Amino acid sequence: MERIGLIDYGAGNTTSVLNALEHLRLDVTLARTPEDLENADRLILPGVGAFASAMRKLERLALVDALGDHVVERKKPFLGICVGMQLLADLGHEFETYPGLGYVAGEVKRLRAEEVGLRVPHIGWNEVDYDPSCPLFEGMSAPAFYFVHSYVIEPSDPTSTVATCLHGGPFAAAVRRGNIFGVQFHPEKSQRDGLKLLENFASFEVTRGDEPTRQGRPSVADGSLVIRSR
Amino acid sequence: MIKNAFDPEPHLSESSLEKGLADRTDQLPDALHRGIVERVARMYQHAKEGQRHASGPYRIGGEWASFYEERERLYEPLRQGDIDASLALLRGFWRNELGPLVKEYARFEQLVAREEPATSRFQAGVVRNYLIWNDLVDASPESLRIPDVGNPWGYVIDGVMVAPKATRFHALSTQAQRLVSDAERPWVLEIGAGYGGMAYYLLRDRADVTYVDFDLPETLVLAAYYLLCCLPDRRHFLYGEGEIPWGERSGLASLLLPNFALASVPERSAALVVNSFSLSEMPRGTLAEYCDRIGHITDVYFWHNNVDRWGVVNRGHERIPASAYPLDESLLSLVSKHFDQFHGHGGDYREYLYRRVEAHAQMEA
Repeated sequence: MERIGLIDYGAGNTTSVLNALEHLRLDVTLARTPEDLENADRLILPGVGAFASAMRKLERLALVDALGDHVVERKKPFLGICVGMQLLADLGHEFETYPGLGYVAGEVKRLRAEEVGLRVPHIGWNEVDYDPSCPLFEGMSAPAFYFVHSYVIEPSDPTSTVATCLHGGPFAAAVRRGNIFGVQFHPEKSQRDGLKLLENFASFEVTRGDEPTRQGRPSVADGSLVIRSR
Repeated sequence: MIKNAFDPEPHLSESSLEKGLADRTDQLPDALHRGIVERVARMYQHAKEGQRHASGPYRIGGEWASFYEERERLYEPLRQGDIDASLALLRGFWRNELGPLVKEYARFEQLVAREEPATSRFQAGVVRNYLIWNDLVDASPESLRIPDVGNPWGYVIDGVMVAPKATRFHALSTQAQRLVSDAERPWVLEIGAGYGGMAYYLLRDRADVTYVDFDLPETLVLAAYYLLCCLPDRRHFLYGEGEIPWGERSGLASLLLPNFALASVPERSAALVVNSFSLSEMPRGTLAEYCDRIGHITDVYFWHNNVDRWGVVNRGHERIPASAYPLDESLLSLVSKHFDQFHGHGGDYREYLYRRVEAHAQMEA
């Protein structure tokens, strides 16, 4: 059985995800260092809180470059959950503009739901429209997932979006670039459908054609990042 | 152990039920009360007459046909213009034979008899909805209070008698106010208001709204009686009191109209159109007509909450799932879809919010 490395970087709801994976009797190890990533065949990056704060925690643990090596170069299957999904983007704009991992071209912006009288954060269960060919959703019918978030990833390439949800307008509920997946909802809190999704991720096999295109992280130095004041 | 914030158990007590069922006969002055009932009776007579001539889609059908066939006789005092008998009937509508239109989880007589499982279901359901409401709406429990009209009953929580469906009505009224917050003197149209629970909160909390209800005459009677008694100082138009004042944009609190009047609503006259639960219960032809009208009369938003599952049959009618409604997507664009917030993700109901396409484009710009 392949081992899942659950990245424990102090910004994730690690325990809930760990419980869900253990419930599925999957082989899981917590990964806190670049060395820990070596022991995992596939990786899950959970996340709660703000984008910049989560990125800084990854940076402090020297996990950004290590993840690039394992996920982009070595193509280990990767799943980002909630903020863990948002970190896949080039930039986040929560409280401040900050560069993300840059695996999925796009930016993370606040939900535009308040203008239609809906509350932000978006909290609750929603059905999603999904690409049935995406392996995460294999074997599902009208799946519903639990969301808690105020920000969403807006991929610049629409083909990255493999599931959408509606809250004041459509937003990306799941993205994929080859072996890299991200889900805005919390599969670990989404009961049957969430467990099925985690199970699907655990059994997904990378095949030819799944390779993502690596994207460089934007930076102030090359002019691709402008830091806004709060 | 993690505490479940929506666990009704700590709020359940016999005394809360006892207090909730206590008598709440109105204290309305007799002359005012009789005047209201006379207007309501005349409205009913006009509506029944108009109903006889209504075109196909506006004739009663779907799962409501047999329901009203059974219940029409209850309205005989109104049809006859017997004001004393009508007043006696309406004054206790929460508790008498008209009660099935207001109940939730249990009927009044079941609760008085402490019938099980109805009583336990009622208590747990009302409290759970209250806890969900508390999470959804930033308001004090006092905001759920309703006037003593029709001798209402419910369950006392945090010192307030919470009537059946009150939390749902208040949450919807709150959202409706958000949706029309930018509109000047907005018209809010509701298709099927029941006794007018949402309308009361909306009119109480947003004075410049004109509220329009379309319903079958028997239910319209309750809404008209309720709103006129709850808000006697406001101006209300009842069907049959002359030409429908579609052009009036100020000073009018409500228009209480039979369903077939929907056909005469001017284009894009409503900032918000609302429906809870009834569109799916209509025959297919009626639904098509209503969807067509909704597309034309909605100026900004159309919000509805209806069943979204095939195969639900009630009184011989298979409900039409909300996702299959024939709405014109060139006029209305879906911007939100959620599970019914009180039923949760296990239920068959979904809340849909559509925005007028032109309004959508303007906001995006």
